[in-house]
Amino acid sequence: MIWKKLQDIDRRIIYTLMIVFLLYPMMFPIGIPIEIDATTKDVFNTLKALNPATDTVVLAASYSVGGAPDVGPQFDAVAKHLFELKIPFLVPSFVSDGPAQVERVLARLESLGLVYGVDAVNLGFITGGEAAVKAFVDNPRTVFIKDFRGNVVADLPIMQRVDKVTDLAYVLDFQTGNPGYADWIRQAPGVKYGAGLVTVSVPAAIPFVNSKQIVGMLKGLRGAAEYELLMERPALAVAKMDAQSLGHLLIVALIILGNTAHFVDKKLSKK
Amino acid sequence: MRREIPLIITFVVGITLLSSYFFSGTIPGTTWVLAKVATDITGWGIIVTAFAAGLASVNLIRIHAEKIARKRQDWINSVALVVSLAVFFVVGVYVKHYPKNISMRTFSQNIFDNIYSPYGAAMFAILGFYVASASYRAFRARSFEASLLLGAAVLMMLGSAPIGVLLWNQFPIISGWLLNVVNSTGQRGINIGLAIGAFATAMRLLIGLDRGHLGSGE
Amino acid sequence: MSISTNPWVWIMGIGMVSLFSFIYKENAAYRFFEHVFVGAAAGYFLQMNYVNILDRAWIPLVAKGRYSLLIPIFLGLLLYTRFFKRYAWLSRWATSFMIGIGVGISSFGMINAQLIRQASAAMMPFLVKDKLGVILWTRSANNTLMILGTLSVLVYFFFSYTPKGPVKEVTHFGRWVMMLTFGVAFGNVVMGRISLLLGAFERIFGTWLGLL
Repeated sequence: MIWKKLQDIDRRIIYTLMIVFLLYPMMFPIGIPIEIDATTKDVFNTLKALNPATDTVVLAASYSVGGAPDVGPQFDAVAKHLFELKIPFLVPSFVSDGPAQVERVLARLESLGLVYGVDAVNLGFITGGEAAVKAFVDNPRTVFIKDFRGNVVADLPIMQRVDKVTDLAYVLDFQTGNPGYADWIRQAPGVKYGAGLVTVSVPAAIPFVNSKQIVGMLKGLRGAAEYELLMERPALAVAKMDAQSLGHLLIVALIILGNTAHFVDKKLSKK
Repeated sequence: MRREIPLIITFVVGITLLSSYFFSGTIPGTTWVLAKVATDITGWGIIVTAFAAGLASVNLIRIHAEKIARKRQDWINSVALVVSLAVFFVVGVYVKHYPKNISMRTFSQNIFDNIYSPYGAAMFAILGFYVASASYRAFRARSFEASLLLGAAVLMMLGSAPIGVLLWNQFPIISGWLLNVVNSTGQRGINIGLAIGAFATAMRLLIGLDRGHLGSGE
Repeated sequence: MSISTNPWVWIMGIGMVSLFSFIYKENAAYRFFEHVFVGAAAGYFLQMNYVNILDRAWIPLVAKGRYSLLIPIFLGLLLYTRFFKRYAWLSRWATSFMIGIGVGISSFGMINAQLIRQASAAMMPFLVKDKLGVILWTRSANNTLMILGTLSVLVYFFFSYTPKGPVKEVTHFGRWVMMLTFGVAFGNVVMGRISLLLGAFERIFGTWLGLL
């Protein structure tokens, strides 16, 4: 009887448990150590090896507001790292939500000394999905006419560093779906391309990491946390990792409990 | 004519762009440079896609305007939707035309940061609760194959969360192997199949064998 | 930290809590904020695309006299003929144009990047040896699994033939590989959804209520 009841447990009890398991470690951090993945190190080392005098990077902001809690912290960390390394970066958005989210990050970095138009530019949104990626790959310098702040892109000093796509030392694409890594590897096979992915998309992208079509990958919020640790600047993503751990434990426990209740009940009812 | 012209458009546009990946120089019999034509057509595609974005909004406004006009159930929510749509559109357009107006820029960023962005995040975050509930209620090892799925999922969860290594130092190694070897194998097979299927569909569309997008009737 | 006094943050907090209230029960507050969000998403997307039309079509046409841009503008407007029954068929021109672009730009990459590169990545030695000629058993086993697994999945998706005998066994193996793959995907789904929840909690309990 108890096993049957256990299977029909009110879903709101599960929701409450979820809230408790996630909120408690956010309020009282445990400090579980985080191991750093090789793909995160690839991104970090690629950027660290660049030359600020000659190299320019693209940080494509193709993440929607829905997936932003997973990918946004990656963008924050990498943008900050590039600012510290003094490597200029262009930020095109292939998803309409991108530019306004990036604006917050750039404003924070400007307060620390980033010079807009010289060190970074928020190029704005270009519609069209894969066609937009192709247009950017064909003409990275001229495809955006005005940036998100209304400046003429061609007049900005940073744009004088880029003429064609091969002038870009690294493209790091932060994405929550389409357009994403598949569009980039189809349209820009000669570009050194890395991906900042929403966790859900990671498994599908792994074959492209193994085939070296994707060089460096940040895997969701954990990727952001690992990057913060590599920078030796633990911030918001690191703070959430304890909660991530407890959340996983809870769900594993629920799966085990649910299955135990199901099979014990089945066995008992057979008797 | 109503069906033939669209097929011709697809063929001409498709074959021109596809050719640009294989050939350079001018299009035979013309002075047009193929790469330039391909770039122009891609640019036109971006413009047409931008126009297409309005279709959904027009539909949305039509449906909700009718609801408001007839005072159907929950019509006040339709008012909220139309007002919200109008505010975001008008403010955005204003900022585009007057980018130096700081107060309007700030207002625009505020409605994005405090309405659109968090509400969007909340809508998606709700799924977190459903995943927990579904894991408990529906994720059962009913067969050998379901057990494989369940086992892989549990090992992945334990290995990819930082706490996994504290529970057993082999969890991250197992989850890493599952992700990089087993998952890569499955995904690669699916990907290759997908590429073949997508290419075949593309060719069918190109030569007009697949006409689903034209709809039925004349 | 203490509770926020910023009215914008209150708009955020009340809206988010109302949206989350759906997990308890569908209610009027949820429906209201859901509509606000849908309107916001549509309005924002619309204006971002308006900017694209303005910058890429209208200004170059009017200011620089690039009359060739009349073609995409005309095609774009044709999309709206679908609201008029008599002329709805004209919208097919624009749809066909976009499909032509999709086919034209993706086909090459599909074969090059997704088929050939992936197939060549799967062509690996069964036996891996180090410089001294010693067999690396773990890597060899992984390679063997990857080669056979990829082939089995491909055989599983070979729909033109009903699998019989040993081929059927191969498809079984392909299915097991896929089940493990989907399990990995589910594990990642859980992780991703928890991340989204944490982001939302940070806004509600941190930014708004000041508890974090």
